Amino acid sequence: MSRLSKKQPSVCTSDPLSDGEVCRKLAVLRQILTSCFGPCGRLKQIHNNVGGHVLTTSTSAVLLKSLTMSHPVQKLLAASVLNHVSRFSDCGLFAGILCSSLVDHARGLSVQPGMVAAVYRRLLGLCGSYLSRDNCGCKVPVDLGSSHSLLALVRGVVTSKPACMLTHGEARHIGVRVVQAFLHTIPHHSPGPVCLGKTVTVAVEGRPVGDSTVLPGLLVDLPETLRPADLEQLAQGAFRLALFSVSLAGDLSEPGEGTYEVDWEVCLEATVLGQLLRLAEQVVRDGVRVFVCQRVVHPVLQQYLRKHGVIVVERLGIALLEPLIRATGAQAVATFQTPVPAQSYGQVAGLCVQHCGSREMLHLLPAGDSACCTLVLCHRNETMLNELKVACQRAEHILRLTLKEPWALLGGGCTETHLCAYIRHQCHSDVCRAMPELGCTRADYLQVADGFCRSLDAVGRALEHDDGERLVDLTHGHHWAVPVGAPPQASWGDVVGSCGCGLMPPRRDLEWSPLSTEYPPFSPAPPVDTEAHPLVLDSFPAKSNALQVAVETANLLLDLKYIIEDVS
Amino acid sequence: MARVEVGTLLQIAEALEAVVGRCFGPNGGQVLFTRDTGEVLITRDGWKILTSLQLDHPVARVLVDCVSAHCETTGDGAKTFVLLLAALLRGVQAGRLQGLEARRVALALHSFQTQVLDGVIRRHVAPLASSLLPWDPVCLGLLTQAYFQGKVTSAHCSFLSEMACEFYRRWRCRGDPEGAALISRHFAQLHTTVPGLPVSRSRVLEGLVIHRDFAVRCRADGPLRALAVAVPMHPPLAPTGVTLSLASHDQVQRCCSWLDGRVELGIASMRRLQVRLLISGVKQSALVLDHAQRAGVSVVECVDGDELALFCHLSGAKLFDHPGDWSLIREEYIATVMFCQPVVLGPDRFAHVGFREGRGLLPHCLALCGPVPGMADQCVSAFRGAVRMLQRVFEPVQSHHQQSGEEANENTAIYTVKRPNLHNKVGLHCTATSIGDNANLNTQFTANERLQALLRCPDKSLGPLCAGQSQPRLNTETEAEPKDQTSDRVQNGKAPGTQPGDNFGNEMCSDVLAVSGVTLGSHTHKLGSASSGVLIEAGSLLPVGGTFEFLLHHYLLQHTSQTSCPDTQAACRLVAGAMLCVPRQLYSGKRFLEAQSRFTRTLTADPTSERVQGLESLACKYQLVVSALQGLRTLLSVDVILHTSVRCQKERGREKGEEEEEEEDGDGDGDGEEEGS
Repeated sequence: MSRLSKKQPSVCTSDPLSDGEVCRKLAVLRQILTSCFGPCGRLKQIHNNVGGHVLTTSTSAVLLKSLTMSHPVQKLLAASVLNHVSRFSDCGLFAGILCSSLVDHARGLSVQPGMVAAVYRRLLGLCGSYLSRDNCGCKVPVDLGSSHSLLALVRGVVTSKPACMLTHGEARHIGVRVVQAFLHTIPHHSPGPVCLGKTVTVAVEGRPVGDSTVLPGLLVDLPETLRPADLEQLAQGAFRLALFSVSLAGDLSEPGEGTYEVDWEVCLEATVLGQLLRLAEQVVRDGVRVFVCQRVVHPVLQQYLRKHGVIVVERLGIALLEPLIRATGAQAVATFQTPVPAQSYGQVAGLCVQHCGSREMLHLLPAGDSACCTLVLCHRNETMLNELKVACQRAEHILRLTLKEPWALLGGGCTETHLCAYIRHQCHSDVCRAMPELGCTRADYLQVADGFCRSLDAVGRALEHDDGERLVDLTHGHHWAVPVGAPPQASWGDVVGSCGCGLMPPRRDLEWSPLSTEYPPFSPAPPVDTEAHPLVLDSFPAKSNALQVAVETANLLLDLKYIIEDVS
Repeated sequence: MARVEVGTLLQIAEALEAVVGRCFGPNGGQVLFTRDTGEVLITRDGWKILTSLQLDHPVARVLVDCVSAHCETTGDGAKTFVLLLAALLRGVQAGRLQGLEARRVALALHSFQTQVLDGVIRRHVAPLASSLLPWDPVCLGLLTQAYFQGKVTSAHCSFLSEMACEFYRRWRCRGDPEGAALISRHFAQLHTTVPGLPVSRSRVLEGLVIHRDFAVRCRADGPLRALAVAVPMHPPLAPTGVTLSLASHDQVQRCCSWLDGRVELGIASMRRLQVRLLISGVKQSALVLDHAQRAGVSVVECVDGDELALFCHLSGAKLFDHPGDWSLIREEYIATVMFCQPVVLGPDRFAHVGFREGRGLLPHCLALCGPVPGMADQCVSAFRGAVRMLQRVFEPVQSHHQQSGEEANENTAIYTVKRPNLHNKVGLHCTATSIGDNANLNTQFTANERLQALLRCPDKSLGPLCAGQSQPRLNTETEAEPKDQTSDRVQNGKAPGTQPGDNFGNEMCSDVLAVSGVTLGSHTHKLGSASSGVLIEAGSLLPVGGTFEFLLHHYLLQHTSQTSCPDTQAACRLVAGAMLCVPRQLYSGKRFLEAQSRFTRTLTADPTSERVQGLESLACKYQLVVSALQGLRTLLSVDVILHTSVRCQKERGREKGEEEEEEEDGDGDGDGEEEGS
């Protein structure tokens, strides 16, 4: 009773966004997100107050998950970014930066927050309808027949994770491997609905990135008791494989909660073991050469099987069960009481030992079209390896999403600037329609639209971390970088390289304007050269969802009238 | 010990009003809550806000309880409730300054609902309402639109409203109360919360989503036969509480193989009935799953009990819960589902089944999305409220006299037994009949108190019975009530021409404790048949934007001029004044006066002829006023708060605990004599 403490009354804050402290905290979060953005983003080291693991990352999901937010508004923003990333795997930082700068720009305006939210929503609708148009200037179709776009998509993901510490060549190598692994998971000819296979990632520490590779089939831990001589025995040819998902440790199945009264001469274990051995006899009789169990196998059973030349792999784990079923065509047997039906056996084309860094692994080669492969990722140390693993899994997910909607958006900041130019142009014609519908004044609408465009520009500018200049061209609305150290008196046309997404080569005949300044509205034209391929692409579903999530979250924050914190 | 003054009540109500007021109306904002668990909650729902506040003051907690009770029934109106209550308290406070005793107001308000409010609603307000029935999709759209405007951000309300309309249209639930009640009762099973997607990705799905993934999935197209079970097919060797005696090796073997044989029998009987889908409320053993896989039966296991019950209800099949023999499965346990497929909603994969149309209803369910879990939850709770509100709309509001007829009967039965002594009663009767002014009302009040005190002692040795009657009410309280003299007159045949329905407007001053030997059963029966029926028709709707409040304000004031009893007048004025707080909050400053004058202009014409922005349910509005008046009475009837410590309470034992409970519930007896002692 003495430990019973009374519930504390909640802490109430009214109008949180007018509070300077809240805004300062949001600004800190935005600063953190902005500095991580893009291929040149700065890395963050996170370590907690009790010591332990130090994390180095610049990925939004990892970063926001490990940060402890002090204010509910920050928590809300982080939660919406994390939820977006868990669905779409990309564009988390984009959503976070855009959302916080939308809130920031709304604060500076003399417009009612509710009205700001309504205008933001309308502008989001404009963006959405533009992005869904087929002649949209910042959208390119993904040709699934060639690897070009796929590689560009993967490059967009991998290069924007600077914590992977990849050189250009290494990034290209990893990109090729990821696309290769993805293509492996597509079954060649299967009737009915296509079911994509699985990629299993095996991380190997201490080897150069160039050693990363894609292997058909699966790698499992080499059983300790397996001697190389056993393997040589069955080096070639197809083997029968039996797969069990039930524990073969010799426990009673379904013992129940009741009590047992057992006569001293009756041994329950012996009964079960007898069943197991009967099973083993059948397996050996059926000519099974590889015996895999998800859980533990009783030592006596193991001994018996080994004696008959069967390779036993136990403790496979639930994660590998599904890929193994795909790779071998076996069915997982869930009971040992009944004989194994013949149709549940699978096939392995061969077995060999793979040396992955310090680990030795048993390689199960698939028989036939299995749609299962193993991506072996190598990197120099654990931190970079973890980041690389996350990046590759993201990239694979992005590729899968692309299958559903074969479109991609221009990367490298070009989508943001293009969209911004479009909205700047469009809002002048939209204002007359919007005024009666929203019940706002012309000035209100244009002010908010300006804030919206500046927020989009702010995301584009966040790609720059070295005080260089970022430009937008006044014809196509693409994003251009002026290299640091360019002579200040030189004209921009002389110093800029190709645009952010790589669709347009260096050109001198364009007009430029710095990103943070106002420029005359123009309707951004789609690029003339249809043969050119963009070098960096962003996922279309991920980015359009990120845009929506950012605006919705910003509107939600603007709409907050009260914050009530439970402090007990 | 702290005395409860009207001022204190008002302070508390105004503090709560300040919180919910900012979220009120179509332009209201949101409130962000963080729990101590780190959970983030976003809401505009008044009830959610009030319950999340962790209020400490007992009066505030009583108030929140009143709001909760109201929201349970209508699913709407928590914010308006607080506004209305604060306005009523302000009125009481102002009246008190003019010498009107607060507790007398409480008493006067008591019979106000049955005496005045019901009559005004029936005669003046209800005829002006437009109706949703026969089914009008446009009206439904306006109704849900207006509802969601108070519950979610303006961005989502039209989307959610369209979705609600589509949901009801695809259910083919066109205003029949049964369908609406079914949806409302099973809303928890009929929706899935999907975090991480924008709200606009929410959608209506055909059939039912069972919130579990397949344990075994076998592809099957077209309609298939399904079986819902609540027992494991493979019972454990020794279930809980059973002792298994194993004497020999053979016995163990036999036991095991007998159990395995049971599984095979079960599978065989499923094969015989061509079952292709097994929906189980419990976990099935690996052996069963293995057999099912081979027999081509899909299995969904560990399904929630409510979901299982809904599945059986919708498919019309019986739930198989016979613990032993699976060969008992007969045709009546077999349901037919139109399809059975996995569905991925956000992070999870669920089993999705479809049904045939049954009883004119075609089941559908909802996937409600939100970018953050808090936001998705907001959509869900808004939708839940909308469903409850619609259920309410489709039901007619019965006149309270009839509705609680049985209850009145019961009460009287008790009273007749417990009637203390006749002489006291006669004396009371004498004072009470010569009423008409304030002084007399006071006397009557104290007399009532004494009567109540007496009623509590169960004295069985009673003289001749007097049929005092309790005024029928919506909630059951232990208070005894004076009965309406006029209805009594009807009963006794002294004023045969008078209809009780017309007497609704009669002064409460005429409340007396009549002494009559008439049995109450027949009385109530007669009363019920006289005030036959429906106060508000099912589907009655009024335009939003203060129409109801203006109407009630207008007609209550009108009623004031028709009555001569000063207490009724005071009560009418109090309520009429308080009603205006709602439009005042909706229209700030000058716009309020504009709105009021616009209303007065249209009053002569049909107020619904104007182009309406939205509609709201008359039944919910009426219930709101009734609940607010009840809440006010609850608050005003407490006079002292006793703070007790936990340790003390333990020592003092049970009776004190009861006393505190009484106080906590705010269900004081109106006199506070016990607390004072």
